[in-house]
Amino acid sequence: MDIQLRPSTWMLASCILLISSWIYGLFFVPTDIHQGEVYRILFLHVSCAISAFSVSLVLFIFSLQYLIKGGELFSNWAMPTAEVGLFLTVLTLATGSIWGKPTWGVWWTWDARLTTTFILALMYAGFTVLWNANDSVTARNKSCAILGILIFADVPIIYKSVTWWRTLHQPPSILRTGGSTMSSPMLGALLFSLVCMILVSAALITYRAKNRQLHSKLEQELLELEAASLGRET
Amino acid sequence: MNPIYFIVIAYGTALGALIGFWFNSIKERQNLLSMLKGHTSTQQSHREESQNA
Repeated sequence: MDIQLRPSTWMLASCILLISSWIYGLFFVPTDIHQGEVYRILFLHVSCAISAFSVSLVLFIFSLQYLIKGGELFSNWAMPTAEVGLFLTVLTLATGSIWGKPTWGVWWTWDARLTTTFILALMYAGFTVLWNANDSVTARNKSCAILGILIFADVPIIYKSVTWWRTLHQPPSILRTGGSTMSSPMLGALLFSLVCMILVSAALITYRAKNRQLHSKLEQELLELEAASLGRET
Repeated sequence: MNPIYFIVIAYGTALGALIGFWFNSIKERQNLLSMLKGHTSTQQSHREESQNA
């Protein structure tokens, strides 16, 4: 039997999984002894941040592949990847800001981690602007591929920012020497929400890439129609 | 302010943004498909016109 799942089915399934992970994190994981209930934003904030970084890795691979080999893959997949990356980074900044108010007392501060993440959002936004600003496909792909590599270069800086500079943001609590400082139920819930957020990101990228393919097809057909009408006139 | 409010605001923002992004993508696809459909029927009528001529 041939079973074909439509992109919207994938999207719906991953969204249901994501909401289940949020419900698990909100209602079935013990309260943090230091921060109280508000720490539960972590399951959303950290999963958004790590997904935004993972998306930048995907964009890096597409960019490198285009610069080395060229081809159509970049044209169809890079822009949807950057759009989803921008969406996740903005969500990371927004949820971090909402978490910052009750824990730090401010919505925003020019802390190293926050500033470097803000730069990541600006770079993703720059990618979408650059994509639409270029008329020549080759020039557009080349400049965007270089920016795609620069976007990924910001990720290690974001990760190390809390150790390189003295910041308000807490140091790494999962990937650190000596093991994670989180308890296993909290870590489990975080990993569950992270996996679900990555699935949602993949589904969104695929859905928007299919839209881009339709867009290219429409452009191609319009060109053919234009050429045909010019032929009739002459 | 009660910390629960911050949790509700954070998760509400994320859910709203996710639904908005998804619906935007669906709307975009519907527009593209209807444009493609319209375009295909225009092409077909052009072909019929040229055959008749």
